[in-house]
Amino acid sequence: MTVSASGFQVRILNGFELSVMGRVVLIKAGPQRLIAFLTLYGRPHPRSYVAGILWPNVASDRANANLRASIWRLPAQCRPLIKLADGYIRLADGVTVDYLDAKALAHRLLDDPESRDADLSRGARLELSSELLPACYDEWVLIERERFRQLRVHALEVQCERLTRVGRYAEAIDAGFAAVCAEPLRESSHRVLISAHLAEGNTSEARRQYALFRQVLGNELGIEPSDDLRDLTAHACDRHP
Amino acid sequence: MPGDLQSTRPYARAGQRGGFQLRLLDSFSLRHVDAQITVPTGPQRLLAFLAIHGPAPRPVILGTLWPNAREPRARGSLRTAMWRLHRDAPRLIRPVDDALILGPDVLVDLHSITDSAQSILQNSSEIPDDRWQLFAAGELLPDWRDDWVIFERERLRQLRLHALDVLAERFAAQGRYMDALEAALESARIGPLRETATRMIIAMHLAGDNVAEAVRHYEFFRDLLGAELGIEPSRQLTAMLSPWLRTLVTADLSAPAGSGRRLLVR
Repeated sequence: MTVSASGFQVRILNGFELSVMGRVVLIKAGPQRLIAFLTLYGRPHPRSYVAGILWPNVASDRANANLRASIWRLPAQCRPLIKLADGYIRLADGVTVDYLDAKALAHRLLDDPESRDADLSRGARLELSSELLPACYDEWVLIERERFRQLRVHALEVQCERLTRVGRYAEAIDAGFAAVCAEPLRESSHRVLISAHLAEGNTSEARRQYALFRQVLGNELGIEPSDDLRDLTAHACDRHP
Repeated sequence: MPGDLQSTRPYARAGQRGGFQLRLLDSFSLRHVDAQITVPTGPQRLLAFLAIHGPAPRPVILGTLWPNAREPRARGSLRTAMWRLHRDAPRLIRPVDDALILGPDVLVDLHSITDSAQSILQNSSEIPDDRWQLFAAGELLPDWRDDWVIFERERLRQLRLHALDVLAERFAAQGRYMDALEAALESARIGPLRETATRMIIAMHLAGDNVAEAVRHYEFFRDLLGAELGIEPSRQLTAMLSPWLRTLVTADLSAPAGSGRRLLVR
């Protein structure tokens, strides 16, 4: 991730981290939540609206006071990160955000079948395996975390398929597992992984993965994999010399 | 110290001398220098989870390790596990904000084997010195049945298999057929039903002009595949041996009755 002109860099994947000019700055939980919220919801918002979302369980004047305190408690060098105007609050322009980079990567994979080779790298896989603010259980994070999870798992599946197509099976299978580990009960992830095994000519591994999926699905939900997936795995066995 | 926070980022793997050694392959064990430390089940699961998952927030740990317990109860279990570890292996686990991380002076066998395999897969020509790790190691916590272990176990298995396949190809390209054969055989030992490794083994036998060995291995693989999965080897694999299979069939037909040589082609 490159450092932007403003020198601010916010990470909200796999935990919160703020750095200024490449140096990590430690900040308290209140301001952390404020910055994380403004990072996640990019547009300017009315201050009272933001206060109400971040402190939903207190009276509105108390929530507004908390918001003011969060802004004032920021270390001086971080003040320019937050812009206030006409009762609105937003993040400064030109802040580098790891979440936005990861989202852009996922969209490139999903929208552009010819996107650059770096999008298929191990670094890209690690980026797509990251969770949005995993320690935060606030309502406003839960929904975005779930949305981002869907997006990155889809992108990992596409990565797996593209790598399979060009015969890079080891990486394809790594991508497939990254998707499976993020969503163990998701059939489409298992499908691309099984297809990668089949493309490599390893029917036994495809069957093994199918059996593993079937077992976990049975344990957790008491259901069977779809007929399509069963047929995909079974038909590969009809090969004869 | 400025490096302190850096070491809390995921996948910090320092593993200093004189620290702890955490073993997750074949079975769980924890050693400090040369002394074995006995670890009860609860702390074992916590250590294994942090080693596999990387730094984890407490709610994630509670939800994963004690999914069926109510929160106060789960928090109690976590506290107990932390306390026991603190007593037997101080500073092995550290809190950072609301998250727990494995300290930097723990050497985890899972991490070193993963690094070794990844370095083979990432670099186009390297044959690393620590490749021996790919050979000796067993499975990840083989008798654990938790979901968060099952898929990681399979993932590690695939990673090792593919690293061994690539290693074999690299040796073969350098003309080191014996080393290539050894890597391919290890791959076949872990995944006996995979064609990728079998293809390499047969290619190496052929490269060494050992047609009989190649055919023998083909037969072995075909029988195994038939017995276990009820399928035939792929056409590509059979094609590798087709010149000799035909010769053998011809030889077979002219052989005295009852010589017992099985037909290779139907």
